[in-house]
Amino acid sequence: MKGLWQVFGHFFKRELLLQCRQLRYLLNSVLFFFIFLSIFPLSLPYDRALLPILAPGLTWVAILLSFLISADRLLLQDYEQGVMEQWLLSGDSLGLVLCAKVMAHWFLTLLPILLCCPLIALLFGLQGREMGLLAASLLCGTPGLLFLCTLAAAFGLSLKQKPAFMALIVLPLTLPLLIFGAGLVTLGMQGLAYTGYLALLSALSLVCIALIPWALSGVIRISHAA
Amino acid sequence: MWKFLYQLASPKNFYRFTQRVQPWVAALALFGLGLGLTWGLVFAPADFQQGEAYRIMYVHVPCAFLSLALYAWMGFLAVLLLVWRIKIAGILLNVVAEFGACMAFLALATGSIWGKPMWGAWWVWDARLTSELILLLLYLAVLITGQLAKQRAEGDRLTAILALVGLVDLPVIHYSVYWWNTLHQGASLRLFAKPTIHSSMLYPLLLSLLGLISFCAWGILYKAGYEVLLRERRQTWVKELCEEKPA
Amino acid sequence: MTTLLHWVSMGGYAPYVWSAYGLVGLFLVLQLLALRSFKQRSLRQLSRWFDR
Repeated sequence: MKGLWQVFGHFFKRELLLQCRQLRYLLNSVLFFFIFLSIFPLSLPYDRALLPILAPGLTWVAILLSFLISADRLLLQDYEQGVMEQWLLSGDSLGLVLCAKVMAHWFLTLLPILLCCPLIALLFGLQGREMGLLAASLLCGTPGLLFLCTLAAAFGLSLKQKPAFMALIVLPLTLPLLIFGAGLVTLGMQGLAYTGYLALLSALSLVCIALIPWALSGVIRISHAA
Repeated sequence: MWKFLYQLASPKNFYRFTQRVQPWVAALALFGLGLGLTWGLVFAPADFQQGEAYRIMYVHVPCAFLSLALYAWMGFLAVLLLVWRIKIAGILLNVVAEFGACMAFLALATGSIWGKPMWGAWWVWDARLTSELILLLLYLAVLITGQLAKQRAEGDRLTAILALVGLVDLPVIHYSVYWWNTLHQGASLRLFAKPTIHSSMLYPLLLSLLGLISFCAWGILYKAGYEVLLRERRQTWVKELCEEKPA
Repeated sequence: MTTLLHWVSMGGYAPYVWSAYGLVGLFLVLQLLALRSFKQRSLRQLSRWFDR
C-alpha cells in the first residue's frame, strides 16, 4: 500500500510531465490572460491616473477568465481516455490524486503569470512596490481560484452540453478571492495596511486546497456512476 | 416524532403526507397573506420618516427571509441526500430551489423599487444587496445543473454538492463584501432600522411572513407530490393510484 | 374621499408601492398557473406511461 506522500508525489510528477509535453495549451491560457489585459488601456479613456486604479481589479478578472477557459482541459483528457475510471478503481484516495493534479497545474501556470507582472506594471503604469503587491496577491490567491474553476469544470464533465453556466457557478464562489486579491493591491496603493487582506486571502486559498478536492472527488464519482 | 420523520422518507408515505397536509397549508396561506397584506396596506399607520412607501416592507421582508430560509433548507436536504441517501430529499431539492430563486428575484426587485424613493438609487453595492444577488446566482446555478444532468438521480446529487459548497461560501461572501464596502465607502447604508418597530406595524408583517411561508410550503408540497409520482412511476402503488384517479 | 385618494396615491409614492405589490401579486398568480399546468402535464405523462 503506497503512502500518502508517495501517491501525491507520483501524480504530481505525472501531471508535470504530461503538461510539459503539451506546452501549447499552457501558452494559450497565458497568452489569453496577457492579451485580454493589454486591450484595456486602449479601450478606456486615456488617463494616466485612471489606469493604475483599475489595474488590480482588471488583472484579477483576467486571471479568473483564463482559468475558466483552461480548467476544462484539466479534467477532460483524463476523463475521455478512461484514466479517471482507473483512479476510481485503484483504491487510492481520489481527493489526493486530484489535489496533486491541480497543484501541478498551478505550479506550471504560476511562473508565466509572475513573469507577466512586470509587463502589466508597464502597461498600467504601476510602481515597483505595487507590482510586488500584485505578484504577492496572485501568488496567494490563484490556488483557490484554480481549485474553484476545476470544480466548475467537474460539474460540466458529464453534462450534455457545456454552456456558459460554468461561469455562473464559479463567479459567486470566487467572489471573496477576487475582493481580497484586488483589494489588497488597492490598499497598498493608497498606503493603507494590507497584511490583513493578505492573510485572509492565503487562508481562503488554503481552505480551498484542503476542502475542494473532496467536493471534486464526490462530483467525479457521481459522473462515473451514471 | 422521529418515527414519523423516518416514515416520510418512503416515497409512498411522503406522497400521502403531501395530499393530506395541502388543504391546511393552503388555508393558512390565504389567511396569512390576505389578513397581513390588507392590514399592512390599509390599516397600519404611516411611517414617520418614510411615509407611505414603507408599506413595501410587507412584501419585501417575507421574500428576503424566505430566500434565505429556503436556501438553508436546501442545504439540509443536500446533507440528507448525500449522507443518508434519502431520495425524497433529492426530489425536494429541485422544487425548493425553484421557489427560492423566485423569492430571491422578488426580494431584489421589491428592494430595488423600495430603494429608489428612499435612497434615490435603484441599486447600491451594499453588502446585503450584493449577497442577495449572489444568492440568486447560486440558485440559478443549482437549477441549471439539475436540468442538464443525464439522469435525474445523478442530477440530484450534483445539485446537492453544489448547494452545500454554496452554503459554506455564503457567509464568507457576505462578510467579504461587507468589509470591501465599509473600507471603500465609509459609512455603510442602513436598509431600515429594525430593532424598534411598533406593534401596529409588526403584526401585519408577521402575518404576511406566515402567509408567504405557507404559500411556498403549499406550492413545494404540491409540486413535490407530482414529481414523486413521476419518478416512482414504476412502483405498483403509483399504478394503483393512477388507475383509480380519473386522468 | 380624500383619505381614499390619499391611500390610492400612497402619499405620492403610488408607482413604487403599487408596482412592488403588483410584482408579488403577478408572481402568485403565475405560480398558481404554472403549478396547474405542471399537474396536467404530469397526469398526461403518467396516463401515457400506464396505457402502454
